[in-house]
Amino acid sequence: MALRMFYKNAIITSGVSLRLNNSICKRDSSYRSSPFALDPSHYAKFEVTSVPEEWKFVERLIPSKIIPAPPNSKDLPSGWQPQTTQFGKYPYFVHRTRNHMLPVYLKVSMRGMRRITQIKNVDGDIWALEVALKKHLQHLYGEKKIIATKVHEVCGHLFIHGDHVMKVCEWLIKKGL
Amino acid sequence: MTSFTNKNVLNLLKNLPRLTISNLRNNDGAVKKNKRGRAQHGGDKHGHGNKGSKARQNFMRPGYETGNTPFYMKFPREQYYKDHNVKRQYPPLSLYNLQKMIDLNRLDITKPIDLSALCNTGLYNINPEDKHFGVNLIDEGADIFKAKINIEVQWANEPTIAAIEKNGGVITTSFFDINSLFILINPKKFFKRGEAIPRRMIPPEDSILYYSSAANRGYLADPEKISWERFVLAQKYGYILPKIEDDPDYEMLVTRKDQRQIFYGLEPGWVVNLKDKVILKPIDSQLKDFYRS
Repeated sequence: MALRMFYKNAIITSGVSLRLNNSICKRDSSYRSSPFALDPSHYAKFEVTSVPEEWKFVERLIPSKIIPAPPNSKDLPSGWQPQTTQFGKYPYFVHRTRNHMLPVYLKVSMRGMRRITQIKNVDGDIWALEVALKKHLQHLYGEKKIIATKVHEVCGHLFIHGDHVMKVCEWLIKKGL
Repeated sequence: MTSFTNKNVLNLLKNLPRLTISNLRNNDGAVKKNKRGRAQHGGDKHGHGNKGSKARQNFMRPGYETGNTPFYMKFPREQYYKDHNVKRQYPPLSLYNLQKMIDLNRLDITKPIDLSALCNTGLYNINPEDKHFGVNLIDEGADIFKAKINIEVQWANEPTIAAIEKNGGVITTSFFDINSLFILINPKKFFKRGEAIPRRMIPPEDSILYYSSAANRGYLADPEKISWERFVLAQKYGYILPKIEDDPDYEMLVTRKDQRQIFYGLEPGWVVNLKDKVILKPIDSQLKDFYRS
């Protein structure tokens, strides 16, 4: 290996043609064994251009590093609603996700038999949110329906037994959260 | 009638026990004890046989009959899912989600939208290693779709095409071979490699008809036939086709890629240098001939 490298270097410095160099070149697993790049005259001819009109096509292919700010409009075709409530209006607060969506998820486990609604990013008094949400769902379903909840206070997660994602989302949007 | 006059029967009725709360009880088997029996009270196998997957909480795959030849393998049949593992997949994107991306400024509709624009949002992703060959734009949310866009997808059905053309937009279905697809879904990674943009390959035999059909808005179809099909679809779905020629965004709406082109405005054979912000173009006649469309 070292001998071959030495031989190649010797060829390049002595200016022997590229064809001879290529003929003895053998690519091993390491990049060190590949031939050294020569000056551009040995390769295909090209021109270097920097036309701003052409560079615009490149720039649009580079992904944005930040997520754009959400719109303030309330009547968008998709039905997305902005967060209008100020922090502190309620004893609790539900932050939007980084994509400006509601952090309400459905967790399905036990071969699809157990469905749990999870609300994330809860700030402030999570117990007050639990009481308020439970009251709302109890009102919707009737007193007989058991709305079992679980509070993870440290992480700010609220779990409700059953699939109530749409109802929770509607309630949060109505509150402006 | 005689029994009413018979005093013995009446006496018997008087002495029989009354139906009271003390002698009410459920029918046999009406109330089931929700308990697992122990020992001699049914505590052996609890109706789950002897050992094996059925005795444990194991859910066998659908169709598996514990060692029997399964029903679905017993008889000769038409294999609907034959070669499903080698077929091209097109992960769906609904018009509702597309509208949501547009509403939240994740997509710039003043420029043509292609797969790299969709992947750059970070909200849609395809994995060519899992035989994903692009986006299938589905018609879910076609009624709420309001944006005027020029979009290039890999698969689209008729209601989707109608929903986009109703709003004055343009849709094209185009094929990308797997090499071009890896470049298209992550252009930045490709530019950093310092390689020349390759030519896009033509579609395989089984999909060349799809991409050369004007009804599917294929990229190999005759533009005149496409404009006729646009009119036909407007008649079928009952909307007035907006005139693209009178549109202020005419230039954007008529922008299309060449059939050998991967990116808008960048030709095959060019090398993009992101560091110096320059583009290297081949001037060698042989190379130019090779990269020519």
